[in-house]
Formats: sequence, C-alpha cells, structure tokens
Amino acid sequence: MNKRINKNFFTRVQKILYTGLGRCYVLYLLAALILVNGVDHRKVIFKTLDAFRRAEMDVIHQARGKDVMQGFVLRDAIRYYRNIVALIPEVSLAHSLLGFCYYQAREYEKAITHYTKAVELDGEYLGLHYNLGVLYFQTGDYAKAIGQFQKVFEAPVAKTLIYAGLISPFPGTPGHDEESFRASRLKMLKDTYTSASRFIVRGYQQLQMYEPLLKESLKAIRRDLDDKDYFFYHAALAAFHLKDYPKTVQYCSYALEVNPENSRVYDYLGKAFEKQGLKALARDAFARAQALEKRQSAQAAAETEKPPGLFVYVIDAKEYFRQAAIANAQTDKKESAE
Amino acid sequence: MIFTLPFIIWGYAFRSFYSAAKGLLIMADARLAFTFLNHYLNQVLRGVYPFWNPFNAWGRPDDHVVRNFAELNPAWYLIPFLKQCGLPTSLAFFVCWVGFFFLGVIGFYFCARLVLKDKLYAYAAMILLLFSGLGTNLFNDILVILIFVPGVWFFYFLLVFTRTFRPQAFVGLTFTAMLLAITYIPFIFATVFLTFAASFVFLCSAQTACLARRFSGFFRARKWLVVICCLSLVFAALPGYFYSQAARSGDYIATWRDSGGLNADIIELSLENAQRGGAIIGSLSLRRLFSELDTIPHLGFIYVPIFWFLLATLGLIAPIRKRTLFLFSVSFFLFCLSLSGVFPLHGFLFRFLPFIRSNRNLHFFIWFAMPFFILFLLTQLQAVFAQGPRRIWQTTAGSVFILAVHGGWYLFLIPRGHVLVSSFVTIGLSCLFFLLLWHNRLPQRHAVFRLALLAVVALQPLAVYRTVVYNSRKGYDALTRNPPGKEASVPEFSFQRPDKGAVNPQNSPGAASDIFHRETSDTSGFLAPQQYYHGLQAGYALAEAVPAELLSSYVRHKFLLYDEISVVAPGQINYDKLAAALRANRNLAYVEALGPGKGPDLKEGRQLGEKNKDKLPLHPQIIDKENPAFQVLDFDVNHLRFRTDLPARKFLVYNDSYHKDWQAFIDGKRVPLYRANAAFKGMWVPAGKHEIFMRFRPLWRYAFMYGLIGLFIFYAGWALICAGKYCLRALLRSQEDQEKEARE
Repeated sequence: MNKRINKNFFTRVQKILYTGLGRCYVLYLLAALILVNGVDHRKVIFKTLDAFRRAEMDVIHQARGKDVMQGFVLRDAIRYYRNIVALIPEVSLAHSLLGFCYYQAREYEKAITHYTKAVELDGEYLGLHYNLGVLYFQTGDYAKAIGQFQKVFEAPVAKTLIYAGLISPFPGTPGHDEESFRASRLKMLKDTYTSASRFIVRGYQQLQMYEPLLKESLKAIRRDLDDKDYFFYHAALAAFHLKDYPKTVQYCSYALEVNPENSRVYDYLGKAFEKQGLKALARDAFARAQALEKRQSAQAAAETEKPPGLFVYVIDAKEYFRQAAIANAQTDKKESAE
Repeated sequence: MIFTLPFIIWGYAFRSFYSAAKGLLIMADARLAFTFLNHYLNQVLRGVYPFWNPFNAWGRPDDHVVRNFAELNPAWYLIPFLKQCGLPTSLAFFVCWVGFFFLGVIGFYFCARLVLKDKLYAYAAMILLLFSGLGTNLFNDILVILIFVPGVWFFYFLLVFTRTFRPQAFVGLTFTAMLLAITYIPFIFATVFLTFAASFVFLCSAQTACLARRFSGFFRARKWLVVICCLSLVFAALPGYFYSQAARSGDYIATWRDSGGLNADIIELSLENAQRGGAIIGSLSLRRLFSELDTIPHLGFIYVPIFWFLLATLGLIAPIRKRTLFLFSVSFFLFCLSLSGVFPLHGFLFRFLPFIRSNRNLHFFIWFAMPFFILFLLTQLQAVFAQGPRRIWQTTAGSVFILAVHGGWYLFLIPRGHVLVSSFVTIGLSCLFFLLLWHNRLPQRHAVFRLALLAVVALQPLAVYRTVVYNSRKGYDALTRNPPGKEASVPEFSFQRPDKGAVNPQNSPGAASDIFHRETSDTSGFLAPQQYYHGLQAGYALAEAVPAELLSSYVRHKFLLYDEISVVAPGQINYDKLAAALRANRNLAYVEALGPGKGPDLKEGRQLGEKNKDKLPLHPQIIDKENPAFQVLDFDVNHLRFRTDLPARKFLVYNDSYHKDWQAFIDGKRVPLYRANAAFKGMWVPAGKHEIFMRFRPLWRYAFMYGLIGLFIFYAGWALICAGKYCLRALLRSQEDQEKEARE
C-alpha cells in the first residue's frame, strides 16, 4: 500500500515538474544565464564606443562652435562618454566631457554631478571650475556659482597654461599651426577670465550683496579685463544701493567713457542725480536712457535667452581615449597569448 | 491580394530610397556594390569579362571586386533588361534589388509552411521577416541579402528534398548552393548550415541515420543527376577557389582587411581583426531596443519590433518540444556568434575551425538567427493557441495572461521615455488581437484575420522606417542618379598617368565615384592613405620602399625602353639600388628571373651594356605619345595590342603591374614576360616591325567564365519554368476549390 502511494506521489511530482519546467521560459532563463556569465562587459563598452564614434566627432565640432549636434547625436554622445567614464572613471576629463554633453542636452543636474566629480579629481584646472560655476548659475545656486568662479582665478598659472593649450601636453602633432593656435587659446583664456568675473558680479547682483559686488567689480576693472563698461556699470549699481551717490555718478561717467551707448548706465546716472537733487541733469539722463533702451531691448532679450558657453578642451579627450584603447588592446593580446 | 499587400506596403514605405532627381539613398557596401555591378554589367554587355583593372594601384586583378556582389547571380541580368524597357538605371537597380529581397521573403514563407504546417502561421512568419530590419540592408550592406536569399531557398529545397527525395528539389538545392558559392563570403552560410546540421544531428540522431540511408539510396538511383549537379557546384565554386588560391599565395593583398602591411592576407584574418568590427553590440544598443527608435541614425541598424517581444512573452508558457528546442538552439548559437569578441564562442571556434577564420562581418549571423527565431516564436505561439481554451477557467486564465503580458510591456515602456506612439498602439492592437483569438472571435480563415495580423506586425516597423529614411536623407548618392552606361564604360587609354595628388589626392575607398573613376580611366595609382591599399603585393612593397615623389614621377610614364637590364633572383630586388637608378633616371631596368634557368639571360643583359657602353644613351627612352616606332592598336581592361618598329633590340617596361597570369605574344608567338623594376611588366622587343599582344589570363578562363554565366542562366531558366508550373498548378487548384465550394 505504502509503495503504491509512494509511486503515485513520485509520478505526480514528476508530472508537475515536467509541466512546470518543460516550458519555454526555462530556455530564456538559460540563455540569459549564459549571456550574463559569458559576456565580457569591458569589451561591450569598447564595441559601443566604436558604434558611437561619429557622436564623439560631433561633440568636438560643437565644442569648436559649429552647431552640428542634432538631438539623436547628442544622446549618442552621452552614451559614448558614459562609456568613457565607465572605462576611465579616475580621469577628470572623462567626467567633464560627459558633463559637457549633459549641459548641451540641458540636463543640468546630471551635468553638475559629473563636473563636481571632475573637480574632485582635478581641482587645479580653471575650466572645470568655470563650467561648474556656469551650471550652478543656470540652476540658480548663485552662492555656489560665485565660489566656483572665484576658484577660476585661484588656479595655478602653469597648469592653466597647459590646459589652455599654451603648453601642449601632447606635443609634436603634425600639420599644426602653433602660432595661431596659441593666439586663439590666449584669447580664450582672457575671455574666460572676463566671463568668470561677469558671472561673479551677476551672482552678487542676484543675491543683492552690494558690498562684495562693488569689490568684485573694481577687482575686475583692476585686472584689465574686457567689458570694462559692464563692470563700471555694476560698480555704479552697487554704489547706488550703498547710497554712495557721488561714487555712483563717478562710476557711471567712467562707464560712459568706455561705452556711451549704455542705456542702463544713463538710468542709474539719472537716479543718482535725482537723489542728489540735480533734477535737470536727472531728466536729461532718463531721456537719454529711454531713447537708447528702445534700440537695445531686442538685442538684450536675445542675449538673455542664449545659454552661456562652456570652457572646452575636448581635443585632449581623444588622446586619453586612444591611450585607454591601447591599454585594452594590450590586455586582449595578453589574454589571447595566454 | 492579401499575400501581395505586405510587399506593396513595404515598397511604399521604402519608395523614398529612389528619387529620380537625387538617385538612390544608398550607403556603405551597397554603394560599392552598385558601382561595381554597374561597371561589371557594362563590361560584360560590351563582351569583355573584367578580369583586370589597369587603373587602380597600377593594375590589379578585379577578382575581389566582383566577389562583392556575386557577379554570376543571374538576377542581375534583370537590370539591363529593365533598362531596355525604358527604366532609368537607378530605378532598374532599385526594382531588381527589392525584387531579389522579396524573393527571399517568399522563400521564407515556403520554409515556414513546411516547418509550421500552417499557411496562416507561415504568412505571419513572412510578414514578421519582411517588417524586420533585414530589408534596410538592401541600401546599406547588400552582401547580407546576397547570402540570405539563396540561403533561405537552400533551406527550403533541403526541407523538401529530405521529405520527398524528388530530383527537382535536389536540382534546386544545387542551384542555391551554387549561388552561395559565388558570394564573397560563402563561409558565413557554411557556418549557419553547419550549426543547423549539428543541432539536427544532436537532437534528432534517429532521423539522421534514416536520412543518411535515404540519401545514399537517392544517389545510387540517380547517379547522373548527382554527378551533373556536383559538377555544376564545383564549377560555380572554382572562381572562388582561384581567388582564394591567389589570396593565399600572398600575391594579392588588402591592407584594410588584416593587420596591414605585406602579409595582409585577403581571406584569412587574425582573431583580433575578425573581432574588431562587425559585431552586433555596436549597432544593437539595448536602450534603442525599446525607446529612441526615432533616433536610429542610419540604415543597417539592428531593430527588433515590439511585437516580437510580445510574441516571446506570450510563448513563455509554451511547452518545450524537440522542434522548439532545435529552432531556439540554432538562433541562440548564431546570436552568440554574432557577439564576436564580447562572448567567448567565436574565439573558441576560431581556434578549431579553419573556415571561421575567414569570417569578418560577424553581425551577418544575426540576420540568419532572425528567421530561426521567428519560426521559434511562431512554434511557441502555435503551441499556446493550437487547442484554445477547453474549460471556463482556462478561458479566464488565458485572458488574464494576455492582459498581464500586454499590460506588463505597457508599464515597462512608459518610464523609458522617447518611446514611439506606434509602440503603444501596437501593444493595444496586439492585446485586442490575441484576446479575440483566444476567445475564437476572429475567423482565422478569413481575410480580416490576415489584415488584422498585418496591421499589428507592420505598424511599429513602418514608423521606424519612416524615421530611418528621414535620418538618412542626406545619403542620396549623386553617382547613382545617372551612372555611366555601356558606351561610357569603354576604358580610356593614355600614355601617361596623372601625378600623385593630381587625381584623387586623398581618395577614400568609400567614395563610390572615386572607385568607379578608377575602373575606367587613369589615376596616379597611389592610394592615400596607404592603409587602404588593395592590390598586388609587389606594388605595395614598392610604394612602401621608394619615396612617393620619386615613384610618382616614374610611374607617370607607362612605357619605357631600356638598353640595359640587371637580372636579380626572384624576390631579391634591392629597393635602394632601384630607387637610386630611378632617381638618376638610368638606362637600366631591374628584372627578376623567372626561376633557375628560366631567364632572362643574365649574360645577354650585361653584354649589351658592356659592348655598347659608350654609345648607349644615359636615360631610357620614354614613350609619351604615339610615334612611328610605337603605336597602340587596341586597348581594353584585359589586354593591350601595339606595334613597334625599333632600330635595335630593347627591353620594354610597361608600368602596369606584373602578374604571373599575364601573357605576351610577338607576332602571335608566345614570349616570356618578366617582373621589371620590382612590380611591373617587362619584355624584350626585337628590332624591326612587330605586333605585340599582352593578355591577362589564358583564353580558357574567359571561355570558362562565359560558360558559367550560361550555366547560371540555364539553372535560373529552369527555376523560372518550375516556378511558373507551380503557380499554374496553384491557380488551377484554387479555381477547383472555388468551384467545389460553389457546388457545395
């Protein structure tokens, strides 16, 4: 009797097992298991990189100022640099390039994450601080933005020169016009300093911190950067809010010496005259400001809509990637030899 | 009508690939195939079989080029026929290629009918294949289609033959095998077939023994048929054999194919190079399987329609049968092979199977895995839906399962972002379709069922095709708009080549126009960058050893007459001495002996030099234009005929690559031809009036190739007659059925 019960039990278990396990999902599970264990993930990254090479070139063109990035290329570029980051996570450049792509895609939070990582890995490069500052500024975190822009001026000069391309870390590139390259890099460096100062000034303005605003504006003027009228204007603005009206008039007049067409300067000049009781002079200044404002409003609107550019040094990324690829190929050769 | 409707829809979706104003929207290898095929057809219609290309790399055999598009495929003769009917060349190509692809899809329908034993499921299999990514290869990588179409028909005839052992099936099997043998990469199909055979033997060992017995019985009963078919196959494989022999001898190299340099074997690859390109990982981004399908940047991108995932999920509960296991194992094996270096399977086979070493485009395997996987999906579905619900709880459980599967996919897609609307619509339609099917509310034999199925299958792929066409809209090739015809394909003869840099200074082999240019008129012969060199080894070695400027000024002149020669042992040319002689423009040619005791006569050269040393000119005589002493009578890609009237015996160097298959005749009498100045042709020309003829390859090779063309046309004619008979029988049968139904 017991034997019979046992036999029936085992037959039933066997049947249940067959019905349960003899189904196609077992094949899929088996296939998934084989693939998960068999696939070399590092090589997958390299294959994917191969497929998105075009995106890499497009990023370089974009960084050089050519507007070539269509939406789908940008997403490919993000994938490309995500793989680069997976391959060489310890290289700050890789993170910064991925951050650059995210910035282009207007995904500012992700861009900040990668630029922060890049800064952690290499805190001495002004470009990274500048870009992180721009990103904080875009997201409205002005205090952090100002902190990053100030670090732009604290970066070591020698390293800045290397990064800016004035001293090439990979010399001897054939067919390279060194003179014009250096000139363009020098201009880029000066533009970056000017832009960083502008951001600092604008940041303090947004935070309505007029004392540091005045200090930074005057510092920028002393540094002999471009856009002096901009900094004089902000010095005047700060002085006005600090109720130092004679200084306001003084800074406004300096600003108008550089650019006599600045409507906003006339506006503050008028306000300062008004506060000092010089009504006729104030009226003249307001009238002039109004006339100029009409002309300049369209241009100003266009300027505010355009997101600011980033400091880029993508060309060197290719070299890093080449080194990573060589390292990978050597590993492969060793493996195949073994 | 229902059968042809998917083809009409597909044709409509791809109509933008032909534009009368812009030409064909074509890229990569398909572009090269277009150019080469046009050139080949023009030459064959002129009565010239293009064995040699005198313009590229200072002359090279054109064997590799013609292999790229399976030159003997009789389907290509439809192109001149359509042109005769008044179609523009590019439209004729479009119609021919699309028609060829449709032929493969129809072949798959017949295969599916045999495997699934159900016309409806076969129809589903056909439209699943038609609306996959395979068709886009026509305009990107036509090699896939060149192998795929005969491959599918090969399997059809194999299935028919193993069931019926009818001689027609055996002839069909032979014809498709011949078509596969003439492709550039028959190894791809060989691998697929071996996978198929090994899986069959492993899973169905009892049937294998039985089949083997029946095979031997058939061979004994129809000896002559078997012999004729085998001979046909051997003949078809011979051009490929000659090509591989030439490649293995090291004479013929392609530096881009292997690691570069002098040892760049055109056929066999190193593991590193075999795995370098072509794996599917690059073109199969996991993210793009479901979302961002509107961003597929170019053709040839591997795309898996959402309906396939739905089918696979619905089939999860299907029981495993031997047939399911067989189809799954073949498709999974081929998929793993297509992963190349990222999965150890290819590396393992590379070590043990010699022919695997010739497979470079490993992503081709995914296209062969696809039909097996489609059959697997439909076998699963058949198992799930075959019997339908028998009890009430089964009806409810089935409905819940269908809803859960579709709902699951819907929920999976929602958070992914950038998902095509058509993907969601497909999920909805598919849910409705399978619910109705499960509840037996869809009349399976009615046309409405097939239309509903077509809508579910084709909806998402059509949306994807639309975006692919849009994203690749810049790819129209101007050359395809008005490619040269037969008259414009007559090769032009000139005494001088352009200087290096004057023509195609940076000619990239990817530019179809450049390649065509190199097929019909002179170029400098230099390829820059040199890593794309594809030609004879001696030319490559010379270009590597001698400074380009010096070489350019030398090879600019095609004919030079020398008074003195220096004979060197075979393969022992001293490039430094040669370069010095070229720099000084010395009246001395360096000539390689053909072998021990085979000349040229060593003494002859020296005596001539020493005896008349003072009287001899310092420089060789350059022939830059016709003159009474040298007149070109006839020139074509494979031969050159000229008349000489020299005052004294001279050594003529013709700066066109030397190849052992070149023959020279003076007044109809064969004379030896030597390798001169490292890479070129040289021969002694006696004083007085003579007619000299140089020809590439012996006459029997021409006769053989024309014979093969005839053989393929014969088989194609036979296949057309059989297809006609089949269609007639099917028509009569359907009429009879209709009459029967009407009577009933």
